[in-house]
Amino acid sequence: MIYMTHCSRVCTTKKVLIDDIPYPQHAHIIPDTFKKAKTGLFYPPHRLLQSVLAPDILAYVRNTRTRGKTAFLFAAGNQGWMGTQGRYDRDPTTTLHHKVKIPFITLTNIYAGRIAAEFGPVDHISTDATACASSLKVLMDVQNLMNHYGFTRVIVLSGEDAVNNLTLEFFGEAGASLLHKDEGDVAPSAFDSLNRGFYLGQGAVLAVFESEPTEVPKPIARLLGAYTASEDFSNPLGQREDGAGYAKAIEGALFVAKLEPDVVKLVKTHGSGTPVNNAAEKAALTSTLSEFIATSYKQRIGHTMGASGLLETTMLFDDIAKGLIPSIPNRTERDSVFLSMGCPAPDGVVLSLAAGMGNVYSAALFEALK
Amino acid sequence: MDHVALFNELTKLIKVVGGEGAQATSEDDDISEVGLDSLDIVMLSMYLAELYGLDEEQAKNLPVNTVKDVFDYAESTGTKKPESVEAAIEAVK
Repeated sequence: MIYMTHCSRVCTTKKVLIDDIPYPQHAHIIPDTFKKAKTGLFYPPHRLLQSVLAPDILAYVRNTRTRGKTAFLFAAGNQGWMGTQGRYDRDPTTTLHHKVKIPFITLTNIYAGRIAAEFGPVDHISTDATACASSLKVLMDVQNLMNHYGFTRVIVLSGEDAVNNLTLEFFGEAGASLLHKDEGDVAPSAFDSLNRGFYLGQGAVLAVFESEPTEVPKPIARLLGAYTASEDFSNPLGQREDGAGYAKAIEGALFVAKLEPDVVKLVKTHGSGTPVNNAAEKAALTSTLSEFIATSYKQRIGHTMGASGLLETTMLFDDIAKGLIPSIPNRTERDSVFLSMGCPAPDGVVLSLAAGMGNVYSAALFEALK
Repeated sequence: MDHVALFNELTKLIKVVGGEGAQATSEDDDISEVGLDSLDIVMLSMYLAELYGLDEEQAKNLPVNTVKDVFDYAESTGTKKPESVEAAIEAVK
């Protein structure tokens, strides 16, 4: 059995209007992470990730022995973060411009090695670059390491340079993130016929998975199965309307967990709220599951990209512990499946989904234990 | 200027966590033997470049020897000096 024994996350519901860029839009940012960023001495994603390294979790990993091997997986979303791109150097006065004097600190594999060392001796370090599916995709690796390679503890850290001028332009230009000019007519939501989309958001998550009894009185959740799939070759970005990629991921996770679809009662959707994701994710869920409710967190904290899958899953665990599953914000239609109103947390297996550009779909099944 | 104190304060900023464990006790300590890894040393050079006005090429040539060697190089090569340890840390924090 694989348990999530510890977790820590950082994100914010507060949003700030970034209006000195080509596609003005709100973003969920933590202003302190940008302090002195323009000097090049501090890189905002590093400050964000360092803030999630909870001292009690570091102390636990350092001070308690595990029978087998320990791994550190950094779900970084990309191999090189975007903040160093020169596209915005022509206008270095923009709010979120950050100049990086030491380019290789934005190479995520080097950063992974640096952070892994803070946890004491580890036997395996790897970095994942599967875009916005990254933090759920690595749960497939957690299973694999534990079930086949003698690992009994896997530390997962996830975060990305989700909010900088380049990503704001990229998502704004693509019409994925909600632009300031559209805000009167549309609000962030998912699976809705009127409201749609998301704001970008900074977020990071740290979780420790262990496969043997630990000193923790009660783990947070049990990981039952995880799987990552791709669609066919028709679209390199993915997200076919029939939801084939999501469906393959869900079926794969159920297969690994040796579970039938009807045990899944609660879904944390990817829920980006873009028209293509709405269609693909809804089609996959309704075709693979029978009776379930679904919610989404991106409308509250923004799209934290690579971190979003696992980070939002830990938010769901907290809501399950409180007994109430929140609605998907800004729904304009009554909907008892893709929730337009909050409802009591059901018993049953939890499914968590994420999708990444590049034809990547991840699904993970959990039993919440708190 | 207390170079050891400034070095130790910069080390606390450079190390992700555990900077308190990588401290020099005298100007004769070798910076690579007090707990800084290779990336930490590169980052140290960037901080010193900011504080002492070194250009990128000068920062890259920072000697990896004793604390004294590092600060002698920064002070003789750069275009400015911080007024105090406190002012230096305030400038880069």
